[in-house]
Amino acid sequence: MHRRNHIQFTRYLRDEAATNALGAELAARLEPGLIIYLCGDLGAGKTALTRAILRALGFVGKVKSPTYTLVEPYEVSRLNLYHFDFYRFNDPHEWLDAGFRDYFNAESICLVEWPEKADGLLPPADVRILLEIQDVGRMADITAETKKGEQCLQRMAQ
Amino acid sequence: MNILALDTSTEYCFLALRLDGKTLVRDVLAGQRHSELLLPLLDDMLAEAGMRLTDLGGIAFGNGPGSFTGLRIACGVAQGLALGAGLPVAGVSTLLALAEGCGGERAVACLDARMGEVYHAAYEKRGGEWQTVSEPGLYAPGSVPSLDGGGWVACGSGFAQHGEELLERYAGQVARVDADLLPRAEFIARLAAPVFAAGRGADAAEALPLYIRDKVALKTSERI
Amino acid sequence: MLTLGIETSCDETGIALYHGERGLLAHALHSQVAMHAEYGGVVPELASRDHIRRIVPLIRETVKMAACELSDVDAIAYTQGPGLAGALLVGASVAAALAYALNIPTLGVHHLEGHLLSPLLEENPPAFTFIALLVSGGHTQLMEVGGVGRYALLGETLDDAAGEAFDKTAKLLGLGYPGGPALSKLAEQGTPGRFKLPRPMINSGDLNFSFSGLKTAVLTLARKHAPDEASRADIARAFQEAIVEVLTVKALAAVQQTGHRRLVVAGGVGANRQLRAQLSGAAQRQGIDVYYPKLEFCTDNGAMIAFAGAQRLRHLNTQDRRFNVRARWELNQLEAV
Repeated sequence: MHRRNHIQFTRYLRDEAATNALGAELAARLEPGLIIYLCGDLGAGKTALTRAILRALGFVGKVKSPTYTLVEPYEVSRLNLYHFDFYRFNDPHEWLDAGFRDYFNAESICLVEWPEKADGLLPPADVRILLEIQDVGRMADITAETKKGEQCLQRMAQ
Repeated sequence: MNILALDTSTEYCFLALRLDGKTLVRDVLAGQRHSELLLPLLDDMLAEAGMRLTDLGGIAFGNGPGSFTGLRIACGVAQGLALGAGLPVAGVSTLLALAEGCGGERAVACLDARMGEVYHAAYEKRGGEWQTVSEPGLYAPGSVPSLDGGGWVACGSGFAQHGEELLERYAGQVARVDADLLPRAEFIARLAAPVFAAGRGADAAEALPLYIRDKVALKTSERI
Repeated sequence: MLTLGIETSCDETGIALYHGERGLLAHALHSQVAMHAEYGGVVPELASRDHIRRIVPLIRETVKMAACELSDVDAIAYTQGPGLAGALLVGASVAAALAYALNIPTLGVHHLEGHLLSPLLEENPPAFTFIALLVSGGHTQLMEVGGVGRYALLGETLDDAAGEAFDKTAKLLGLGYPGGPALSKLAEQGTPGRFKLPRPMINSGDLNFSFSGLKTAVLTLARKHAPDEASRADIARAFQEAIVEVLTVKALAAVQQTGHRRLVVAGGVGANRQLRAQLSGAAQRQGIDVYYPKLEFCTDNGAMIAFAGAQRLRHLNTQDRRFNVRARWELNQLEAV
């Protein structure tokens, strides 16, 4: 039932400023209910991009990796944003036991690192961002996977 | 017997004080502010009735299914009140509360469980008492358990969120749909009244939420 | 005044009764560590589910141990934050409702204030002002503690907490969860000096820490020497030495900078033997008194919440029945008493 993707583009993130710029662009387009997958290896910059998004929304506190707590909640700019990291799950069924049902709803925005660790059980992404180390920076490959995702990315692709 | 009932399983904060002859209620759209509203509302309601906690015969709460955090607020408050005032508690299913409130004798209750699923149960009133036809469970709307016969009242937020799919599943069996029905505290109080009257209220420590999918409870029962 | 303390901020349910004149009367703890081990760390929803099963029986047990009645309790303090929101909410709900039923005041306490004041539960408590090194799975901070509510942050970790670095490194070395204590044990068998890991920010000139880079360095070493049991012990040794040295150097620098000659080490990592040995040795040479709370007060517990709450409740007459929790809460937002 996967629809064909109409919006897909890449951005080269040379440095922190480029990451922050992408974060700001995404932040401006976030809508309640949106689910964003952040894919990429350890050190690919998933948390850094999340931090950039939160900074752009006006969050000034510390943004730490949710590896330890699985989820870090943020209330910022009238949005409920949840930053997940499922790296330490060994089996997707652990995700079901973990009871994250309350978080994925029409009012919240979910940014998910390591979604593949809950493969097949996690609600599908509206936007998927793949980060890869390339030269001195990172290559971000951004894809809309739903209608909602397309609306979010619409003006960014140009 | 005077009974207090609480429910915070939805975005509403519901309280009811069931007295002989009348029931006081508090219904507030709480969003995520249940914890700030619950005890002040209770205090206000008890003051209106001119009562104290110790004048009660028991505390009932909506034990689920519903928002996990919400369930624990009502449960924790019920535990604390019961512990402090030496009162029995009764957890009442939110799905059964819907049945009690639907005005019919056959109820199929569905609450939106998010992530494209519903909490589902079906009940039938026989001899003035609700019998469980289909146990509370978590399902995709297309695979809810089938029901026998007709005349079912379809109630709860599940029918607002996934009405089309659910009603297709129960085509020809549903007499009426009440998708806006909520598990109000007065329904919970009504259901708990005979429990307390029969002396079947539980100890504060035994008041626990019903999550439906519960690995922790499963493991504990495996140990026993 | 008898204060009931309730701690549910993470994976320990802690309950205690503290008396203003008689001191700590009783405390009880239920640890969820075994439950979370299978998931390689704390799972917030599961933590909340366990707290609500344990809290009432633990309160009863504590009251019984203290040989008193619930009706003797004069006030209730609960951990309001920071921590896991759902877990905190369990303690807050029960605390507020119980206080309402008993018609006594209730107060939300800052979890780190509990840790900072925990050395005052001991028989020979340090006098104010002291320096506190708070090292646990969730925190790594250096604070100047001038009194109740008088805290100045001198430095903190910019990324992972020290305990988190222990757990993550233990996982890299295949030691399971919680890996900190297992890693320390393995380190004792290791050869000192075989591997040398970086000391992050040791010369940064400030009192901040950074531990996330260490795990990358460990990963590189572990990949090179993975199958060799002796090498794993040597890597564990090198890792522990790096962390301990950074913590020691910065803690003593904080003492030197502020001129206060008393250092308190709080938090779960404060139980680390090598850290204690190295800190005590260096402090002794410099004429600094080091205080270590008992192990049971180093990790999360209800006693520190009862104690911290009692200090504040003495000056407060609240009838506010609202309760809420604060998953994020900076210590410097607290008011001095």
